[in-house]
Amino acid sequence: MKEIIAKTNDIFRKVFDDPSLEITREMTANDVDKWDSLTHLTMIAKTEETFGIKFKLKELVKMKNVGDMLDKIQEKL
Amino acid sequence: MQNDFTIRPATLNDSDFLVKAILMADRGPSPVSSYSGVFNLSEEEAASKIKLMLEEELDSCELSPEHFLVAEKDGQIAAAVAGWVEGFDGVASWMVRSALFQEYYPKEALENAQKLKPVVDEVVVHRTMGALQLESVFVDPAFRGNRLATKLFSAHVENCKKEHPKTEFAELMTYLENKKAIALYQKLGFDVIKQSKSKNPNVLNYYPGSGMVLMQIKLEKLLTT
Repeated sequence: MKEIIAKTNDIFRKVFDDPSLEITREMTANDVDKWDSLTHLTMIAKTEETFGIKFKLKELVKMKNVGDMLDKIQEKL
Repeated sequence: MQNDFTIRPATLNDSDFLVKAILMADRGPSPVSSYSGVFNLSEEEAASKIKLMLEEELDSCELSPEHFLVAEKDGQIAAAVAGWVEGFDGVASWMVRSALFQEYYPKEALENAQKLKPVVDEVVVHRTMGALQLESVFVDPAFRGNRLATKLFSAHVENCKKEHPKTEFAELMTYLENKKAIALYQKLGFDVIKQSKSKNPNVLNYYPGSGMVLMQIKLEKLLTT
């Protein structure tokens, strides 16, 4: 999980253009300034590319926070 | 005459009318909808993709048949309005819509939207978490004048009070240039609580308006009975 968190943190920093951003399991779009519909699409695409996975539509809409996404990535690896 | 209409929850069998409602309500008096304009798709392409999205029957945004109520007369649908409580399951409606676009819109369409990000950022207004959202308000022109939108609003409020009793406000969105709709909603008691306006001279090629208006009302004010 440590490696997943580190790689995801790196994706978030790049996509949301914030080099000091530190992800937490509880973090949601409300907590990140530039997290909107279009950056969300980029973040999901980068995450899928980085980990070589593909989220299903119904998985994407059930992710309530970063923690849910980290768990889903781990499940798929 | 008004009493001849039946109000019922929509089903997937109503999807052709719901697609029309989603696109026509978004467009208002404009020839372009945001579902086509932002993504450089034709209205027909957008309509066919929205129909596929509705078939997913996901919660939490207007692209779900289960959030729609329709008014029907003699087997013909006359009006539709979507309603849901924003973020009731912890996920904002824009996030569900994004996931649906990612699944069904072509890659080039999504890239086009990314290129327009500065305009999108200027126009988009976010809904209030926990407020009842009334969206895709559409009455077939042949049935206008029967107060069907008001009746559907009231039916949504009644459902909301049962399913989400803590909800205090209802909201709806329209575009700045849709003056007729804004005036009608103000007459019902809605107040403008947020407004956006793009400075981009080409904004009307992508959106039905140069900005958005978010309007709010106390839930009880929409009850007609």
